[in-house]
Amino acid sequence: MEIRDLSSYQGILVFGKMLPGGPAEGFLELLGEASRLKAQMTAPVRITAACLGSSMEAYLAPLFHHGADHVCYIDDSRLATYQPHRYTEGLFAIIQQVKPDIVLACASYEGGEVASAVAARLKTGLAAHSVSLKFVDGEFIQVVPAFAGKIYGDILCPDTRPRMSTIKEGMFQKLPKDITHTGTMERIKLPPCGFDERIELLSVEDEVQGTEKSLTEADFVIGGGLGIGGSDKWRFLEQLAEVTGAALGCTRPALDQHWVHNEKSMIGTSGVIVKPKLYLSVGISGAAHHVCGVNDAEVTIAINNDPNATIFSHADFGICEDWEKIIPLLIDKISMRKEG
Amino acid sequence: MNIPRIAVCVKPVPDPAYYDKITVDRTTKRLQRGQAPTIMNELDRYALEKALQLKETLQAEITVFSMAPSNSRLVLLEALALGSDKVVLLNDIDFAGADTLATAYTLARGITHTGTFDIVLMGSESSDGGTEQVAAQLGEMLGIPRFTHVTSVSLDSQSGRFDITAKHDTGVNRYRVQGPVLCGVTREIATPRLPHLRNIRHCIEKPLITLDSKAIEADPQRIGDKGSPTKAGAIYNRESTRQGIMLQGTPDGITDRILTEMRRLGVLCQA
Ligand SMILES: Cc1cc2nc3c(=O)[nH]c(=O)nc-3n(C[C@H](O)[C@H](O)[C@H](O)COP(=O)(O)OP(=O)(O)OC[C@H]3O[C@@H](n4cnc5c(N)ncnc54)[C@H](O)[C@@H]3O)c2cc1C
Ligand SMILES: Nc1ncnc2c1ncn2[C@@H]1O[C@H](COP(=O)(O)O)[C@@H](O)[C@H]1O
Repeated sequence: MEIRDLSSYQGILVFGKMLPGGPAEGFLELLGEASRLKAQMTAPVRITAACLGSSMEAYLAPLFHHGADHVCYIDDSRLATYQPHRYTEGLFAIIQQVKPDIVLACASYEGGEVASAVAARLKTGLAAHSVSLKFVDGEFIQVVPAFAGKIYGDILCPDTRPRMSTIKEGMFQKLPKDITHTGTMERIKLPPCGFDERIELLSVEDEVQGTEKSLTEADFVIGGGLGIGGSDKWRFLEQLAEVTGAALGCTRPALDQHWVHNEKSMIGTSGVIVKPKLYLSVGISGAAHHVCGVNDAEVTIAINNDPNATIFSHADFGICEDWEKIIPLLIDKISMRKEG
Repeated sequence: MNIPRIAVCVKPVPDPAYYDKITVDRTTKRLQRGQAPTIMNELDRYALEKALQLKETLQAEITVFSMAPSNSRLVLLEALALGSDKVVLLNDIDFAGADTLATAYTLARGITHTGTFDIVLMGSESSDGGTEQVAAQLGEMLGIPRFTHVTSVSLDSQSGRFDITAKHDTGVNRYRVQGPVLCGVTREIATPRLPHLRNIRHCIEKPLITLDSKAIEADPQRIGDKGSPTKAGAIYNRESTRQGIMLQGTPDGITDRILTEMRRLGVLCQA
């Protein structure tokens, strides 16, 4: 491995998504984590937010209010829509400009893709889906899951800079908004994008944002699995969610059955991470791929009619029973309570 | 355009059905794989299926690339049985300990050494590491346009242009791209087939070539552990902190117990 002049790389750079009205939640969460890391570092550290987009200058202020000391951005009509090759050029240019020691990027489709390409170009290390970042004896340690979160491992990046990490949305917490926190702005130019002549963007489809209660923010999350047994029966879970105000999520097989239509309802490694006060799983076996999405729930209750189901070892309260004997009754009791 | 040449990257991985048995030994601190058999990474099967479908309509030629220990031959034979034309196994003791960067570099060297390809198909993520990095990194190293989380690909063999649909954070984009191109695919790409008996018999006659670091003229500083900027530190089990109390009794009693818990946590009042 070639050794670089490591000390010339300083500060923390956070790369997240700018939505039409401002930064995505995941962006602010990473700024929160960067601030916690900054507090652990002895030398003075600057937190830079890296932004790519078009006509977004008016929406950058929340980045400062949530911890950024500096915003380095490229505002260019060619970045109006995400395109991997252009965003890679953009983030690469910002990193060259800022020379950060640490880079945190959202582990979203876009963030993960761009961070991977940039890390390859910089020939530096990129830890995937980090769940914890810390300094131990001055060493920067990124904790990542393997085998769908069955195992965790420490990742170090001793010889190259920047040290990069991707992080899933919902993993860390944003700081409370502080409108007195401000910083500097720096605008740079988008370099030429090599593949522009070879790539033609034919169409852009943005999903209509669902009105369902956000899984990542809900205090009560219900998760349904293949054990529900049919789309007609899935309605019971929808009804329970409705009467309790819970958010309803699912496993991959339930999504494959089209009982749920929104891909963003899937909980787990390939889906979302939830941190509710209560997680109630119904007809879910407890595969590592799913369970790692609910590790941080305060309390979990699992209903499964197989006494040997793995989910029971991941539950505070296990109920070995046919869910059809429990859920409809639960709905009745809650509805009655509300009426009475 | 001549017969399209397709490269498919296939990673042999421990069967995810055994993940719950994988642990870290408390004393040796080493990984115990719980006897998990090695299978083809799920998404690579989808990538290969897409390649097979392109072959059926356009008579493409499929070469499978895998950087793996030699005990994964069964997975590679399966790739041949499914209908690929040739397998290149990148195998060398010096490839061991590779992180995604060294993996992408090794695959890039293997592919470049073997020939030119119109499209490289692979999974967007592997089920064991699940880093979702190798596709973008390999594209970067091959110096070709690359897309990940690709849900559909078609090729217009007249123009050599690919129509690609790929997910982004808030929806999907459709692109028309002049090849060569690399696509990391998701499960929407195709529905994998089972190997055909006829093909199983033929697979042993097809070439399965093993190449080491010298053969692909790899830079020794960029492969395996040496070429990996990330270093693995300690590994540990995720200990369950759950209480694991089984609730017994009648549905009436159990639902009351759930309601008590909901009230205690304050998640019932919002309704
Ligand atoms: C790369 C990769 C990524 C993945 N990512 C994810 C992910 O992000 N999220 C995810 O969820 N999965 C993911 N998976 C799939 C995951 O490995 C499991 O297959 C999945 O979580 C299992 O879903 P399930 O529990 O609904 O189904 P099953 O495993 O089939 O379990 C159904 C359960 O329902 C129980 N049951 C049946 N009838 C009843 C009844 N009447 N009452 C009560 N219980 C009943 C059964 O006992 C069984 O335990 C991924 C897999 C791979 C390979
Ligand atoms: N050792 C390997 N050999 C061949 N292909 C690989 C290897 N490692 C990763 N890949 C490919 O890269 C994809 C993404 O893997 P990952 O980035 O590790 O999640 C996989 O679906 C494979 O197609």
